[in-house]
Amino acid sequence: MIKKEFLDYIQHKERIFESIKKPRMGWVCTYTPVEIIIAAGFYPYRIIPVEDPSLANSYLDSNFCPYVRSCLGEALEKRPEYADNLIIVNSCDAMRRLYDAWRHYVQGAFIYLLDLPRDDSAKAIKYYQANLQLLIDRLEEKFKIKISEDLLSQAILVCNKTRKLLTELSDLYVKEKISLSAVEFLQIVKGSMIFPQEEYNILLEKFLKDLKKEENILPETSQIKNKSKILITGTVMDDLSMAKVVEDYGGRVVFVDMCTGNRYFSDQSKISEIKQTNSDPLRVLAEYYLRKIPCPRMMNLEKRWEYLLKIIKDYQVKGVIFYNLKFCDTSMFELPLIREKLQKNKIPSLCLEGEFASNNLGRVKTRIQAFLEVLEFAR
Amino acid sequence: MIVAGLDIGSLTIKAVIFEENKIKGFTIVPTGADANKLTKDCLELTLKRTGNDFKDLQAIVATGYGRISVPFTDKSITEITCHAIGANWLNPDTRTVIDIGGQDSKVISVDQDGRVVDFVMNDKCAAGTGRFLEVMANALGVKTEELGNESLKSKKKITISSMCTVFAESEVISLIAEGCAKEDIIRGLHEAISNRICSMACRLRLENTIALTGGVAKNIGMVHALKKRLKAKVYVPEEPQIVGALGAAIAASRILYSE
Repeated sequence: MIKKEFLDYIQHKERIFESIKKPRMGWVCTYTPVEIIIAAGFYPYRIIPVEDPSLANSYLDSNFCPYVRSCLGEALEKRPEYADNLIIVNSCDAMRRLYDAWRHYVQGAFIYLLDLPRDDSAKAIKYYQANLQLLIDRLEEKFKIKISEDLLSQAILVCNKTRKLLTELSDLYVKEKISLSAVEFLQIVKGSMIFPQEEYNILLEKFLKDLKKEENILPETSQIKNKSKILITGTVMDDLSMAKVVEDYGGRVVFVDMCTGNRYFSDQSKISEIKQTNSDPLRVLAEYYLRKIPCPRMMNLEKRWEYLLKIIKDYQVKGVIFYNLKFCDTSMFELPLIREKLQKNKIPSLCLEGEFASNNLGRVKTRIQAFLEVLEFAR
Repeated sequence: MIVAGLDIGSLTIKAVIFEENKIKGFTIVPTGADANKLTKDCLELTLKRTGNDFKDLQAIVATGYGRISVPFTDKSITEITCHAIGANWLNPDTRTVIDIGGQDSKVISVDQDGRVVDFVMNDKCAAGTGRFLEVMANALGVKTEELGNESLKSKKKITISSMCTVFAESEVISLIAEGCAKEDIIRGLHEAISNRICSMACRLRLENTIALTGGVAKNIGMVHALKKRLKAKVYVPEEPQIVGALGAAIAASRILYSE
């Protein structure tokens, strides 16, 4: 499958929505167990809004998470065909308020708030597992369905496959073995969140097979050695053009520590754990979600620092870009401390703040170019 | 070896001609809709002053927010890097640069070789910039270049609380209506801007000497307010407005050396 064709296909949200006849279940946080949604017979898709949040501004204040405002704005604009059902994870204040607002203003919708513990201790896993059971009970009762262990195990295998394929793609991308830009890589990851998983697996597998054909593998000489390797870390990134700016000015994005990037599909070792589906599938799910690459919300400062340092070493990162949506306390309050630690380790960093679905690339461009100039001098 | 540096800013365009490690001449002109032509004119005017010809220029580097749109340059470098290079050349003791330009302000940490270590920029808002002062000068019926001297006459402290350009303007208008003295209001504005700049600057490790660059550094009232707030060794170049263009010119000569 040709790259352009594949990328066009997976990005066309409206067309995907039209072609899928199954009932839809939206999700907003990567701690949502998509497997349960699939096992319940729904088509899970992540809400990644493109609409201006202006309609939501009447209900949520403007100093509120831009992602959450955009989600509500899009739902208000496009209901009912867009947002019939939604599972929200209790991952931050903004998400809880989205739950409140959605319940009031998006009428007739099914909405569920799933609680999420903050660590991966045995007790936390047990607690999360019990919460997953509550979600299943509610879905079974509301939609008069039965979510069997078999169905869950099958769904786990489907999602594992997606993660495995994305990990494979990411490896090829990082090692520059294939011709794939950061934006294209991120588009593929994003596609996996809005496309029905099973079909997506078939498409991605075919795409990967083609990519790996000998004639498509880039010779080592074509890899440009002098690029500064960049880690982008933060919350949600909708506007991928930022990654393009990094590459335009001679940087190379090697890891996107965001829930629209590498954090979504996690790493290989965790996947093999979840493969053993003969154990209780809910337990497997609880363990997987609490042990996958964590969101800053799940970590204290020390843990987050160790985690970032490991990525920096593993991927030979030369500079770190923090990209956070405005007002995200969870990921921003510790920034000054993290930046100080980076400075001590002689790793330059840049902080960027974003709105959702907005276009203020001009200002971002100067900062990114200046940042890459700093890295170039440091070399 | 003759080179040129161009700084296409939001309010003014600056050109510097640099020869054998010396500033040979410079020009500052206001920006307009056709930045390309204006930049070319600005450069030609400078060349005329220095008695040179366009053909004499061995390298041209552009900076400023219009840096990419000018076709006749060899390279574009951000104003952050250029201000660092320029300030370091003017005063090698510079470790921090505070540049307050027409539409943005930035604070840059610099090492002993003039390399950028870290930087912060203000966020999508004209507050604390040259444009902000222009709007306020207009509301007060004072020329922008008179703001500095006016504020030095102030005897009474007034606090301006709004930093949004629009709100601050209406706050200023209310203060005028209440009968407050112009010079006190202007001082209040300068202090408000310097508070804002300092809170941004403190995100970096502020080290002496601090160089003030950009057009706003020509405003003596602003310099006073910043000095008071920063409590640091402050250096103001003779022509703070051309530091970016100067840095670009020095970068141009370095390109030639490296070739």
